Amino acid sequence: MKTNCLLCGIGGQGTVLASTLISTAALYQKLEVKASDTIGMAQRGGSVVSHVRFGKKIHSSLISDGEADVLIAFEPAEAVRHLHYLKKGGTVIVCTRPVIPVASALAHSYETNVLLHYLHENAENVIEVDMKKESNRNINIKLLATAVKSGGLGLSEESLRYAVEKAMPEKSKKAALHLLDEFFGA
Amino acid sequence: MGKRILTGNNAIAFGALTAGVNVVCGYPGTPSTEILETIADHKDSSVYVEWSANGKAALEVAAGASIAGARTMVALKQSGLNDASDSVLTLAYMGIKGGMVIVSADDAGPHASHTEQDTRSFAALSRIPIFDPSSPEEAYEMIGEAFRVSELYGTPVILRPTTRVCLGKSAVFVRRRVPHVPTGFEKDPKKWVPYPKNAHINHIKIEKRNPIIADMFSELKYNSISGRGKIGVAVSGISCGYVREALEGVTNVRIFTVGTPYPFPEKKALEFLRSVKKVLVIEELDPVIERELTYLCGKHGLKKQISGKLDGAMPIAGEYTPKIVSDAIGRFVFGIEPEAKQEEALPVLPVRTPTLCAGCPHRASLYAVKQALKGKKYVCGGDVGCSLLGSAAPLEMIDTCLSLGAGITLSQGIHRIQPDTLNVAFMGDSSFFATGFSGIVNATHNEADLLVCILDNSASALTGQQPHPGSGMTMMGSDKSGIDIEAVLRSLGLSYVKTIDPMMLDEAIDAVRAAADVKGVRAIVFKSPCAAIAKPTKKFYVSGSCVACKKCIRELGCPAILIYDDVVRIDSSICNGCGLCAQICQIHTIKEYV
Repeated sequence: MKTNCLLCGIGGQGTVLASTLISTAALYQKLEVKASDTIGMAQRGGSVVSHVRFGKKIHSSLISDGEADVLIAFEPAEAVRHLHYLKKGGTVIVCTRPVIPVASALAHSYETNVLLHYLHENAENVIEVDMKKESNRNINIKLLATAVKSGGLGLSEESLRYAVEKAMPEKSKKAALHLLDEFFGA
Repeated sequence: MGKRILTGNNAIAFGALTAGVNVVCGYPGTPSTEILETIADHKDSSVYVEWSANGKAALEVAAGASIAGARTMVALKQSGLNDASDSVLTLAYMGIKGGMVIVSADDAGPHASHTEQDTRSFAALSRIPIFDPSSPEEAYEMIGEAFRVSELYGTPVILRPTTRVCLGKSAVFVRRRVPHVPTGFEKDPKKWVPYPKNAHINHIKIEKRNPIIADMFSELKYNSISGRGKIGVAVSGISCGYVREALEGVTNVRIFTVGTPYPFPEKKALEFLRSVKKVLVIEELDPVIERELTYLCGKHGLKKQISGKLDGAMPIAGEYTPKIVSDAIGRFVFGIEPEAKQEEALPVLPVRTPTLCAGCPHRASLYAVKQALKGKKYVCGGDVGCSLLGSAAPLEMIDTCLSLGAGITLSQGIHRIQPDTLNVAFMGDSSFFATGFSGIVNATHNEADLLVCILDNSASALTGQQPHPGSGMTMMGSDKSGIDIEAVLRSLGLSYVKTIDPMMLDEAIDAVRAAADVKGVRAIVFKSPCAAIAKPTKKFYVSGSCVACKKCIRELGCPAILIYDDVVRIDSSICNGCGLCAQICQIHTIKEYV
């Protein structure tokens, strides 16, 4: 049994921390884990992905096309861009708040509804996560909690809490735990 | 300490700490930066750690400590090793006393480099033994083995992770530190002074020694043969996992894993070659193993098919993926052509090019130069680092770039051929101290005519805001005032030196205009801290009087300025409050929150 989780978003949104949290939660469940993040210039606002794989025996950290059980997208266009990784019957968790580069805005070429429609047309399970402005900073926690709740990751709420305690930077830990309380009901 | 999720960079640092490393030096560079930072975060008082001024300094400080008996590690990316190479090649002949491991991270892809060079080839050039880890957990183990080999044979040893190993994460079991007490430097000119005569003797020594190391390597677990059958796959580095995955459940393929590619473990390789009919070599970057196996076949009269990069069975450039590897194995082992994938028609997706951060002082500096030189004929030499992002639209202010601190010297060359052009050289502050300084010395000494623009944001920004000689902080915790760039420039006798704050746009433009009109080597230091360090003290917004002329968007390209349905607004969660947009707004509609 292997679980493949692909995270995608825009440099600076927190995909790297999210992949560490999933890895730590999987380690807590005594699974072997391998993960890999995009780095370099892309971290300055480029399109980024993180691969996380866990299970009894994991040989490599990269997920191939059509093999992701769960796609966690921090942004709608990035969800569409990386949907080819999702396997048949896999789950998409997508934050519906768009991040529109100026060039796309000037050309009026970014259409959130079209992108979300495409996701629903091409994936069986799509869970939309609405981001209210005040919770921007905890986008990763809300997405991870949703992914855990969906059951697609095979990780428990307890494991996610453990990961937050263990791997979240001290300054944002309290807010993250509070968000988990709210989400799962303390 | 138990099992924990570590990146390869973390694992290398913990491996060195476990092995009793005493001194760690490095220069920041993706993908190796976090090695040294992890050491600094987890070391005890017996370990000395520094960000050196450049890769060469890092290598030499570590070499000095090593010949004084300390265990040392140098943490660099491949280009840092290039910078250090003059000393590395001599050190290979001279040898060391305390174990010395040079980590040189290669970047297949490349993700964050200007070349796809292979440190395994550098190991062969320098005659230095090299370890090539396939995962973070193996990197952790190999560091200890590398120190052992280094001390046993009195030679520096290279550890060469690639990007996916450095940044990959897995659970690593971290063991307790075994302390090492340095014995001190013992004078011995025959050993420690590389006279040409000594060099000749040492050359013979290392050429005789390396076959002995190769035989020892043949016995190491990192060079192993598994599986059975007449079809072979030889593999190294991160691809090992891809091969194991592609061949999961397949038993009739023999796999030769190479973890120490130089000196090549010939005995093990021969054992493998003799047992198979044909071999597919799967290795990123240079065809090192492929050439070694081909050579061995010739040397021993073996008729085997060796496939890989050289016969087109594998891609010659770029990073390998599980798909590339499984397709190649499918073709080579089972004769199956991969199915052609149907391209799905996607909705229109935004192009996301990396950009300078909101509030980045480089944007203001580059913009000021652009405005000041409007209508003039000029060429801009650039630097590696964040400011290179200024080559993209809408700033388009970097015309050429070569390596760390090279913009200044490139510009000198261009100016010799095209003297009617104003040459501008942009240089980061970390680059100034690393290598750019000597380029300015070259310019003043040889009476060049150009304008140097030093972008001083008090950090090595692109790699994560590491401190440097100008910022004053050290990794050992001292926090003095840094070396003053303007004072250094004045001491070099430039014809014009001025430090300005690029966020004061009008003054900055005036300073550039004044400097442009002077002859000789002149410099402007644009001093303002990196937006990732400086906490924003203000926020700006677009007031109701905006006429959507879009000047701010067309000219600055700040990621905080958004437009939707022809309404311009500033995303306050992104805005860093630099106020550059407010300064260029013609109708003063961008205002500060009060």
